[in-house]
Amino acid sequence: MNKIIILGIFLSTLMVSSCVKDLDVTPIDPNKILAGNLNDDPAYMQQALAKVYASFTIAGQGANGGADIAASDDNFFTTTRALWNLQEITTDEAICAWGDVGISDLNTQTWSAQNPFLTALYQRLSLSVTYANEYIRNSAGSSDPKLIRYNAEARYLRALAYAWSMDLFGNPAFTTELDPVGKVFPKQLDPVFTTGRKLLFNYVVSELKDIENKLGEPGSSYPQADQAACWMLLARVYLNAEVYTGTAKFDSCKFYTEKVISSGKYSLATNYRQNFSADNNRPNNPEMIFAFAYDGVNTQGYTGTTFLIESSSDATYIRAEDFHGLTANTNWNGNRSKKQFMYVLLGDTISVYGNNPIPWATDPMFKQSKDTRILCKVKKSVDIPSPSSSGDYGIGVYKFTAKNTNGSQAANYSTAFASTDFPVFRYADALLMRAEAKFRLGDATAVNDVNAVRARAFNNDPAGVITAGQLNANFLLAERGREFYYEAQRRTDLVRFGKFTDGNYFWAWKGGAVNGTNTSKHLNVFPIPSDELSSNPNIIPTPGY
Amino acid sequence: MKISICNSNEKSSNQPIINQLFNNMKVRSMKKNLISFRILLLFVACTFAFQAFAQDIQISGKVSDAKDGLSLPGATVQVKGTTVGMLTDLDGKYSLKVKPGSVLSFTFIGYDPQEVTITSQKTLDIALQQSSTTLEQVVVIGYGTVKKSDATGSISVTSSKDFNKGAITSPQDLLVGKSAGVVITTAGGAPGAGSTIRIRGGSSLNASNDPLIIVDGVPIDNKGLSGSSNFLNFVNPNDIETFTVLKDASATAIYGSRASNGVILITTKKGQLGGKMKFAYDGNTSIANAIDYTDVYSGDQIRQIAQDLVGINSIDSYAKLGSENTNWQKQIFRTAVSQDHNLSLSGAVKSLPYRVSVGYTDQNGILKNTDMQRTTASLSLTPTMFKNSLKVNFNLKGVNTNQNFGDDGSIESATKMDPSQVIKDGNTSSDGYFQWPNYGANLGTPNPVEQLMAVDNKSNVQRVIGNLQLDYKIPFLPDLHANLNVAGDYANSDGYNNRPVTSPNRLVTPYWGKINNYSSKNTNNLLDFYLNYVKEIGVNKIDLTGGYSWQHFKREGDSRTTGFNGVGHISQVDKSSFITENYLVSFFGRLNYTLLNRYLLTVTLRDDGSSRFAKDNRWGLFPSAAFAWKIKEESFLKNSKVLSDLKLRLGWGVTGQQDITDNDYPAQATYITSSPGNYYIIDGQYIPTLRPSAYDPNIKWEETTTMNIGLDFGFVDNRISGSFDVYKRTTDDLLNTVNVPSGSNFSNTLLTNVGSLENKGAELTLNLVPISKQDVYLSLGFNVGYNVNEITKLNFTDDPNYAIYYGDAFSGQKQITKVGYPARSFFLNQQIYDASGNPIEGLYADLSGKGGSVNGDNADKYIAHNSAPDYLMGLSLRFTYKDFDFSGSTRASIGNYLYNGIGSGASYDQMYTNGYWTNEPTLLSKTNFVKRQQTSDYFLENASFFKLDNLSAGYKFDNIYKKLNARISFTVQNVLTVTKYSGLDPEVNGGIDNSFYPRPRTFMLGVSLSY
Repeated sequence: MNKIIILGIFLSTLMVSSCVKDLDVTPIDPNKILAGNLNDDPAYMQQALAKVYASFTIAGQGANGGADIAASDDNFFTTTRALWNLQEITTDEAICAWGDVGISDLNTQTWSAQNPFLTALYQRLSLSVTYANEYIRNSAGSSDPKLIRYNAEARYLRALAYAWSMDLFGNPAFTTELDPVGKVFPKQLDPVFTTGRKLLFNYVVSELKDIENKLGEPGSSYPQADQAACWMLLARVYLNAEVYTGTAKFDSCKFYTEKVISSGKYSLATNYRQNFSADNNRPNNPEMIFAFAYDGVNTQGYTGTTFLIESSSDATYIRAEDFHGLTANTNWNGNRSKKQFMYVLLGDTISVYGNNPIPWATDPMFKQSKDTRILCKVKKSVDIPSPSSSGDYGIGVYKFTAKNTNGSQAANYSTAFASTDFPVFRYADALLMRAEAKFRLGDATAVNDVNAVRARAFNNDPAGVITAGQLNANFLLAERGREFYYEAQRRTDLVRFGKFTDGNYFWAWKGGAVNGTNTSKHLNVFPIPSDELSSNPNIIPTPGY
Repeated sequence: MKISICNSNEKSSNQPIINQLFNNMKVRSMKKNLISFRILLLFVACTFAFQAFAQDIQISGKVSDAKDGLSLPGATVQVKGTTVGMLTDLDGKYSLKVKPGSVLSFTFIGYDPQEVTITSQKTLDIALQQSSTTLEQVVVIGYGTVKKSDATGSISVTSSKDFNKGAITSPQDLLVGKSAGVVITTAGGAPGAGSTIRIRGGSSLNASNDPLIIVDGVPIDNKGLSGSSNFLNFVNPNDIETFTVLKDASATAIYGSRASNGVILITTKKGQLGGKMKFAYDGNTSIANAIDYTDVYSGDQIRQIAQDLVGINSIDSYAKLGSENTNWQKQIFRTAVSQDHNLSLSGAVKSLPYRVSVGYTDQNGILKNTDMQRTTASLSLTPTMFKNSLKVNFNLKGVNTNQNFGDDGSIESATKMDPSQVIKDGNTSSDGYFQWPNYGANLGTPNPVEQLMAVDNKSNVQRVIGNLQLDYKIPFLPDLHANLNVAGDYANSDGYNNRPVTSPNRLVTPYWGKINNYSSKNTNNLLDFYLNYVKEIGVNKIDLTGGYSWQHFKREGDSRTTGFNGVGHISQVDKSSFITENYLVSFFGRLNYTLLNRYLLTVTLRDDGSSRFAKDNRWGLFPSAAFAWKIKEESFLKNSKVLSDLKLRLGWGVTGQQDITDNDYPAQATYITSSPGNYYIIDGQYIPTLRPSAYDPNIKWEETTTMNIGLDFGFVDNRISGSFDVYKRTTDDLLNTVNVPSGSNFSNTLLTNVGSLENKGAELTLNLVPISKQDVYLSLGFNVGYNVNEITKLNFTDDPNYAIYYGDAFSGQKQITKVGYPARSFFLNQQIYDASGNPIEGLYADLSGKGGSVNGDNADKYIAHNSAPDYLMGLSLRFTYKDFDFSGSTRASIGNYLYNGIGSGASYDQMYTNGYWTNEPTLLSKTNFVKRQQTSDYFLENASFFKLDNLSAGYKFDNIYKKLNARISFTVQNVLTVTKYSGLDPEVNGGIDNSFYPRPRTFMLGVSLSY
């Protein structure tokens, strides 16, 4: 017995060396893959690309791995939701009733660098860039035609993230696939705000031009980015070039919109509302150029179009069950539009309602207007008593829906999540961008593009047609509002037309005043969030904040 | 030490004269208590010298208790240095043949041993003195034991006689309020609920702050198991003998990397060698009730409010109200009757001491549809073999728990549900229950009764822990022990959480009804081996320990939810799974050096390897040193009658932390696949996404340096005893989740080593025995702990404004961790009041001086207070008079603040939203807030409290039937709470008081039988 014990002691001592080797572990979970094994299976590269897309649309990995961003609410910190908030509730188009910290400051243009919604979008866009960088590194140099296209798509998505960041924040931290990952401190392209923004503009443009021919043919790879998506983004940044660089580039804008138009792959949907319905995707919808895909079963989240539908619905006036076919966790009663934007929607109110006040009590759904784009309903009153008063006040918007265009139930229907894609570039935008470029370049044919869009909107009713003489800058801005309201474009358009912060245009609660007031010009860009400044000493704060 | 020797008057004439001389000399010197070392040596030498001439003599006698004179059956009588010996019989008698001059040793558990040299006496009666309780106690420390008087670290022992009384099903509850500096907060009143244990404040921010818990030598994996609400549930509280809390680093450092938050060693009861077979039954029945309910409006009150509030809510809202006065809270709570039975058998079969126990608990929660049935079984075998050279300690514990969780979300629903509505309106689509979606409000509060009663949320957890510890005295080196400990811990859970299709969609979004199944499995294996060498050389004593430890943890689990996706639509399946493991390998050593039994030095060193870190950072070296001076043993105090004990302790040590709560691979670059519902469409197919995970290749140990000064004291024969400790703990390289620069990693935050924090405090423990007489005994235990926590560094940059905020965007960030303040301090707007002292809605001090709206902007908030108490006190009392006994425990917590989350969410405009009515606490009638004021310091309250935790009275009946003894007892738990806090219960973990399972008041009747 003693010998056995001594032997046992001896054996266990021998185990020491093997025990130390036990410390070399690698994940045993089949859901976890070591970065070094990414090229083992072609499916991995597809799934990693799916992540770059999904980083714009949903919160994260679900039960396996959770959200991408550690935040108080995963869904707030998604691009489609945060982008929408910054682009819409800061403008005349929308106001949000919720009491979340920071919302009221967006409603009234009184935000600071601590605002969680700014932080959300800044971090989200940076994270999409970081995921894209990683993908671009891993897929670089491949001769596989599929991987070459995927690589270009990742570069497209990175350019898109930078384009938005340039528009919203001006001069964000800048990294590419050449930068390391770890405890590092990235820099801006230039410490001087205007120089950095200009350099970022040049980078986005050169990236897009470089990948143009590596992407799929127009309309060939929806919802993945293709050449037309690339041209649309080029057109968009050129349209706003003066804001970003100080130099207008309307000719380039016109050039790229024409590439889209002349590709012949796109046309306006017969019914305007198809663009915001569950069947708004290609090939059902010839108008959609690039969108973020949502699916009731496969791509879920309280973000994107589900967020738009639910936050705009309420239990009393616009019920999601009735209008949108969503029955679970509905009617969040937050977002709605304001009186001032109602006048934009109705255009020349006199032509619609005569010389009378809008009879919203008897015509709450604007039935007298021939413009089919007015998918709104007046709630308790057109006036909103305070920046955070109940969502029962104001103009309800039910433009987006979870149903199909014809009112039928969506494929992959879910009680809680819409299958409606979130439009980024529609063909109508190609037309209106070209119209604006032409208008700025003094080309009188601009009115034809505007009328093409309006003909669809007015169901070819002559009431929609305008003359070249009626087309002016204000009309163009208003027309973009009517066509693209609630599509996360308004702030960019108002800034380009100089109406976001200055004293030319007031709307309810702008600057915190009931009828709106002048706000400072530095608010035309959002500040680099304080979270970023305190974690990265290399980042220079945005001027004015 | 007092020895009484009854020499026979008869003096043997044939005994050598010199022997008699020395014998007399010894007796005399003993009496004078002045024996010198040299004379003793001479005496021993002479005894041995004459041994050869001596003849065997028959010696007999009785062993009894020195205090009460009662005989001690089963005491060991042994001829020293031989295997000759016996146990005393039932009357405490013994009879042995010995050679004159040999030394007889008398030992009995719980008594001081005695040795007597045999000369010529035929009769030798021995009265053994009970060990003077705590002072001579042997305490378990890491990898060994030490006499309490020789301990150099800050150690507190709580043994079964001091445990909290009552219907206790969780081991942690036994210790609440019993040990200075140990804060135990139960999660609530749910059956089998777990607790949060904090020793001397938290030393970590994002790594675990739980102490290391070691049960019978096996470190327990404290990672949760789905379906199990308490990781310590496998230990039946009735089986526990002692809790030993190691607080300072000199005591804990032997556990190195896992000891930063203290160590709790749990020892279970064992059979006694030589003890006769003992049978014991403990059973109780208890009745529990909710103490109070949250004060909310009645149906009549809410109808009145609806009329008064026409300006705030639309006129049509009134029509949505019903005509009832339903008290929803009363509908979901009940009087709960529970029972608990424990049976144990212990004793020894020859040299095999054993203890077997089984326990059965059937606990019903005061919330309907919540209950737990638990069966525990334990076996312990502690034989000594091969001429005492091999000590075996075998423990096996098993538990089977069936738990019914119900839905404690119904507690919040019951405070929110419109009291004007009926419970059942007969609507068949919702199984007859009133539900708001039937009245056009999809987001309406779910009917609390349906929410609670229709859910089928149960789990079954099984866990087995076994360990075999072999302590072997090496035959050729008797001072050397080898100790091997092999343990296995296996836990398995299966559960489900189902809801019918008639449940409102809000409870099962995005499904219509759901079937959820989950399971998990934790496996933990341990192998410890160490050598222990003890040698006394003159006045020096060396106790050297060296060894290694290997531990493997593996955790896996999966969850699957199937839901019906609307009428006529497909059912949807969500599933997820995980499997993960980690290893710890350690080498450790300890030297205890004692000089002159007065100066004690302990040095420990542990080298720990963790598989969580990359090769270069994997190993951490954790040293400690402690010095103790038994001042009482010095000549100038040795004879003091007043002072019975005085010891000074100085300790210093470094401990580590690697218990990262949710990631076993934080240093590795990995990708993770998304679960269904989080796919994206690529080339026409919905595929899972693969995300790179944020990682820090250089992540390493968090290190806590502790300094401790302690004084142990005792007066008047230790009728007053206690200890006082002051400490400072500094944690560096905090494992901290911080914001990372955008673009630098794969998330916005990263777990890395950044920052430092500090805990400073003092502890006082006092044990008083005011009365100790034959029939009356009274003892009082008092402890108080004081701790302050401060963050000293937090981020990469030294930006003074950097802070970590807690709280969601919706209800506002109310807590902050910032340099210069305690972790998780409150961060609130300063309320402004009107002339009559009422808060003015939405008006706060403009602390930033920027003007404008100050609503919710962090710049206008200030930092004040936190939820950790400054002082925590425990006072317990034990009183016996003849067969009657009485005990009680009280606790006081001072300086802990709470944010009344239930009150802060209350506003008139929230009462009618989205087409349904919500109830609010009646506190709203005091604030009259129309809008919610989520960050007003009006709702921050001093939640200091005094709690009378339990009162227990018992009566003992001896020999009611033959040798059967019985005791009946009556206990009340959660007797009284004194606090200024306005909410239901001031004891809330985390600082924000939202609805939680209330702690009931329990009345218990207990019966114990022993034979």
